[in-house]
Amino acid sequence: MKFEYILFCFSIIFSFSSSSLGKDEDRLFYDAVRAEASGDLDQAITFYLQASKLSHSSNLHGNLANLYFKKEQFGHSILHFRKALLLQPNNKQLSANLDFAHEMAKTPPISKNLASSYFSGNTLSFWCVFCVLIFWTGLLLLIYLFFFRANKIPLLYCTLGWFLVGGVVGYATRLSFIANSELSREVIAFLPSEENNQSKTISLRRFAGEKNSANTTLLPGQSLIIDLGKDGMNKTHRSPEGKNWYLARSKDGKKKGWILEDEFGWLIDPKSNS
Amino acid sequence: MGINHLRIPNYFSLKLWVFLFFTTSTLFFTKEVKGQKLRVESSFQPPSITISNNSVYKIVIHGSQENPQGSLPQIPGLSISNSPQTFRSASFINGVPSVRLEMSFQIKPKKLGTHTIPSWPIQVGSNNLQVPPCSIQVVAPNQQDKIKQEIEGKQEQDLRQASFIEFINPREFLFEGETVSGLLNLFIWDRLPVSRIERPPQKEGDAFSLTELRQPQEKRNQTKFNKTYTVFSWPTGLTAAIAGQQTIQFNTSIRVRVKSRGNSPFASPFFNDPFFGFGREESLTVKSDSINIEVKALPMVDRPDSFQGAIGIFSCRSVSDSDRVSLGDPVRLIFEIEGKGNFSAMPAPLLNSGNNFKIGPPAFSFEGNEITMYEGKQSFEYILTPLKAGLVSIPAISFSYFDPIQEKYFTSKTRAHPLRVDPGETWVDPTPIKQQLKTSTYSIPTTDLFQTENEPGEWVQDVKTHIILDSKIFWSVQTFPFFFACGLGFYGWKRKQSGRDLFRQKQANLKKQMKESITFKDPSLFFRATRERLRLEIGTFYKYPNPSSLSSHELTQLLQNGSNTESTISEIQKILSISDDHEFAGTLKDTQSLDDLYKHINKLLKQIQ
Repeated sequence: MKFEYILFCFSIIFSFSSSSLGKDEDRLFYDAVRAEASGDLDQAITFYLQASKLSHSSNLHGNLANLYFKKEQFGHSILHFRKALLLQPNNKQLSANLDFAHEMAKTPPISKNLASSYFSGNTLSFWCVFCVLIFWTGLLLLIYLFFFRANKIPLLYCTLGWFLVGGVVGYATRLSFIANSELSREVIAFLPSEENNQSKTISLRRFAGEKNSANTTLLPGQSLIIDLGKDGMNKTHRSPEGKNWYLARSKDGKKKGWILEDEFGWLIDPKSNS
Repeated sequence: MGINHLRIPNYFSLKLWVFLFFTTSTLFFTKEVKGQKLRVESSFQPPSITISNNSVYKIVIHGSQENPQGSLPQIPGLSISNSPQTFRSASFINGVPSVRLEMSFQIKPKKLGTHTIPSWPIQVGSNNLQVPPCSIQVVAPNQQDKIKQEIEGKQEQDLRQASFIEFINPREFLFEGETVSGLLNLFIWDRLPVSRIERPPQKEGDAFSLTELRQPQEKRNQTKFNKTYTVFSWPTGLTAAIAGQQTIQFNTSIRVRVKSRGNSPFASPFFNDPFFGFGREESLTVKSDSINIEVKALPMVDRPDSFQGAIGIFSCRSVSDSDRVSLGDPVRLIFEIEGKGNFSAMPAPLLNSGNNFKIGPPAFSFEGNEITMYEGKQSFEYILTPLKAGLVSIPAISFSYFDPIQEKYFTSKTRAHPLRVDPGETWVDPTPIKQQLKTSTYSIPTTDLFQTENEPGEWVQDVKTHIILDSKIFWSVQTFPFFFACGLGFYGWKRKQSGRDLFRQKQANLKKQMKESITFKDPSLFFRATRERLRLEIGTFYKYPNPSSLSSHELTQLLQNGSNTESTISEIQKILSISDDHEFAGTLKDTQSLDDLYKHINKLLKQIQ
C-alpha cells in the first residue's frame, strides 16, 4: 500500500513537470498567431522570435518565415524556411514556400539533384548505419568462411565483394559527413536593417573591416559556408569595435570574403554544435 | 365648231343664273338677319325617359349660325356626349328672314330622378348669352327595359368573355424594385373570327415596368367559362417602380371579321353570323381587369452598405482563371450571381483591390431566360492587371441583396483568391535557368502557399540535426558484433585445432576421390574410397577410437547396435561386400553406375542413427 502511494505521488510530479515543459514557448506561439490574425505582423514576429529563443519547432520557423516573406524581407524568410525544413525535411509545403521565396529574392534555390539529396547532411545517420551493417556482416561472413568451410573459393569472392561494397558505402558516408559539416557552418545572408529594398546587397569584404572594399556582393537570401581555420574552428576575426567577422564563401566557391556577424543568420546555432 | 360655239353660252347662262340667285339670297339673309335679335333655347327631347333609354339635350340659337363657344356643365346623374350634332337652318317667317343653329347632345341617364342642367354661359361671336336651365325626368324602367338590359348585359359579358387578358402574378404584394416572373395570357374564344393579333399586350400605368414581350406560346382547346379558347401566353418580368397601392391593366387589339348586316339579333356584330368569313375586318380592343398590387418600400433598417438594389434570392461565387501570373499579365476574375430576382436592375459589384491591381470595367453576361431576366445566372467578368510582384490577394467581393420572402437583407461574400505574381523575366546565366525551371515545378498550388500553422507542433531544443555518430547507444551497440566476431574467430581457431576438423578434411578428401573416380571411370579407386569413407563416417558416428581399422563385419555390428533399419543395414552391407569383392576378387558384379551409387551412399550415410 505504501509502495503504491509513493508510485502515485511520483507519477503526479512527473506529469506536472512534463506538462510544464514548453509552456512559455506555447504561450508566445499562440500570442504570435493571434497578433498575426489581427494584422499586427511586427508584433507577431517579435513573439515568434522570443519563442525561438526558448525552443524550436518547424511550425514556429515556418510561420516566422511566412511573416518575413509578407514583409518582403526575403533573406530572413529563406533563413527560417531552411530552419523549418531542417526540423521537418519532408514537408512539401515548406519546400514550395522556400522555392517561391528564392524566386522572389532572385537567389538560386537549393539544388535538388540526385547527389545532393542522397548524400545530404540529413542522410549521414542512414549511411553510418548502412556502413556499420556492411562492415560487421562482411566480417562475420569472412570469419565463418575462413574457419568453418573447407572450400576457400567462396571466401575469395566474399572478400572481394566486401571490399567493393564497403568502399562505396564508405564513400557515400564521407560525402554525407562533409555535407553535414558544411550544413553546421551554413549561414544565410540578409540585410541587417528592416529595409525592404530588394536592390540592396550585402558585401563580402576583402579584409575584416567595415570600410574595406567589397570583394563581391550577395543578394539577401544567398547561402554561405563559413570557412574553417587551421584549428578546425570557424575562421573569425574580432575588430577593435568589438564586431565579429567571419570568413565565408558561397557553396560553389565563386564568392568569398569577410562578412559581419549581423549580416547573416546561422542555420544551426554554433552554440548548439559546440 | 359652230354648234359648240352656240351651246356654250346657253349652258353658261343657266349656271350663272343659279349662282346669282344663291348669292343674292345669302346676301339678303345676311343683311336682313343683322337686325334679328339673338336668343337661346334649351330642351330635352323627350323630357321624360326610363333609365334604359336615351334622350337628346338640344340647344337652339336664333339669329346666328356661328359656332358658339362655351363649356357644358356636367351633371352627376347624366352622361352627356361630347360630340354634338350641329344643324344650321334659314327661313322666312311671315316674310321676315330668320337663321338658327341647333346643337344636339346625346344624354344617357345614370340614375332615377329629375336632373336639371343649370343655366350656363355661351358666346356667339362677340355676344355673351345664357343658356336657360332645362330639366329631364328619369323614371323607373318598365318590363321591356329590363329585358333589354338583360340582353345587353349578356351581350356585354359575352363580348368580354369572347376575348380577354389575364395576368398571373405570383405575389400578393411587391417591394419597390422587385421583379417577379408573371404570365400574360390572351384568351380568344374559338368562335370569335380573329384574323390576327395586331400587337402584344401593353400595360397601362407607370407604376410598373415590363420586360419586352416576344413571340407568344400558343395553347389550343383551353376551357374556361364553359367556352373553348385558344390562349396566347407571354412570359414577362414585372418590376415594381413606385411604392404605394398601384393598379395595372393590360390591353391589346385584335383584328376580327364582322358581318356586314346591321340588323343582327344582338347589338354585337360578331355572333351568330354563319357568313362571317365574307364580312369586313375591324379592330377590337381587348383589356384585362384592373389588378391592384401593393408595392412596399424597401426597409431602411439593417440595410448593408454594399446593397445596390438586388432583390431576390441569390447565391454568388467568384472564379479566377489563374493563380500564378507574371507581373503585368492580366487575370480574369468572374463573379457569378445565380438565383431568382431583378437581374435586369443589378449593377456590377464594386471590387476594391487597393494598389495591387488595375481593374477594368466588367463585362456582363446573362444565362437564363433573357426575356424575363428573372431566373438565371448573371456573370460579371473583371480583368485585373497586377501592379506588383509577390503573393497578393484578389479581394473578396461582398454582394448584398434583399430577400422579399423573408423580408431581410443578406450579404454574401466570396472568398479571396491568392495570386502568385512572378517578378517577370530577368537575364540570368542560362545553365542555372534549367535547374531553376526544374526545381520550381512543384505540385502545391499557390492557394496553399504561406499558410499559417495554428499549433506549435513538436518542440525541440536545437535546430541541429542529430547524427547517429554522436549517440552513445550507437557505439555501445557496436560492441555486440565486435564480441561476436571475436568469439566466432576464437571458436573457429580452436575448432580447427580439434579432430573434428581432421575428420572433415578426411571426409572431404574421400568425397573428392570418389568424384574423381567417377569422372575418370575408375571403379577400383571408387570402391576403395567408398569403403574408407564408410569406415570413417560410421566409426566416427559411433565414436569408435580407430575407424580405419574396422572390418566389414565390425561395421555391420556397429550399425546393428544403433537404431538403424534393416534395409539401411543390408544396403550398407551390400556396398561393403561389393567393395570387398572388387578389391580382393577384382570383379564387378553390380552393373549399377558409379554416379548413382555415389548418390545412394550419400543418402545411406545420412540415414545412420
